[in-house]
Amino acid sequence: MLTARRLYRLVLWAAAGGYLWLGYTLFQGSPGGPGVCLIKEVTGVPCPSCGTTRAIEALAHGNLQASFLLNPFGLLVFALMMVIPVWVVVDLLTGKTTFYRAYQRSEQILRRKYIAIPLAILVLLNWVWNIMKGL
Amino acid sequence: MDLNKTDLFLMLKGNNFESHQLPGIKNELEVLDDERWKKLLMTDFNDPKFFQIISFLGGTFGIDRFLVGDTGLGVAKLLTCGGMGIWTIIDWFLIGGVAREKNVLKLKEILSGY
Repeated sequence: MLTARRLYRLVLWAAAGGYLWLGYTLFQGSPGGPGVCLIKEVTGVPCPSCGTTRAIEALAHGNLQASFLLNPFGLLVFALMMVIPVWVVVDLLTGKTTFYRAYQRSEQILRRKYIAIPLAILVLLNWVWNIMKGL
Repeated sequence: MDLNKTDLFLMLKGNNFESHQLPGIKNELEVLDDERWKKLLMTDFNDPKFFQIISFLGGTFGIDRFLVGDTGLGVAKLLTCGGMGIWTIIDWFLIGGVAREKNVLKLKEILSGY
C-alpha cells in the first residue's frame, strides 16, 4: 500500500527528475531533446502526453497559446509541478499529511464513473489531436 | 492425500499471492467461518500475469496502474509518457508484485470481516 512516506519520496524524486529534464531541455537550446516516449520511439505514433515538454518550454517562454496548442497536458503538468513539490515540502516540515489525504481523496473522486469516463474521452481526443498534429 | 477446501483454494488462487505469504494465508483460511468463505470464493483477485501483459502493452498510458487501483500513479504515468519511458520499464517488473500486494489487502479485508 502506498504510505504517506512512500508517496512523498516518490513525489520528490519525480519532481527532481522533472525539473532536471526541464532544465536540460531549456538550456540545451534546441527544443525537444532526445525522444523519451517508448510508444513514439517504437511505433512512430505520438502518445497522449507527447509534446508536454515542448508545451512547458513554450510556457516558460511566456507563450501560453502556443503551449496550449502543442499539448494542453503541458499546462496541467506545469501547474502540478509548481504546486505539489512545495505542498509536500511544507507537509514534511510541519509533520502533517495534508497532501497525502488530498491525494487519497482525489483518487476516490477520479474513480467515480461520471468523472473517469469524460476524462478518459478527453485524453483520447487529445491523443487523436496529437496524432493529427504529428507531434 | 486428502484435500480440503483450503488446499483447493491455494491450488487455484495461490499464484495470486506471494509464495512466502501462503503458509500464513493457509493458517488463517483453516479457521475461517462459512460466511467469510462464501465471500472469499466470490471475490475476484488480480491475476499478476494479466497485469504484466497490460503493463507491457499499455504501461506508457498508465493503464496497468489504473487497473490495479493506483489511480493517482496512473494519472502521473499518463501525463509523463509513462515516466519518460523509465517508469514504464520499471513497472514491467514491479506490477506483478503490486497486483499480489493488492490481493493480500483484499484477502485481509475479507478475513477481518469487512
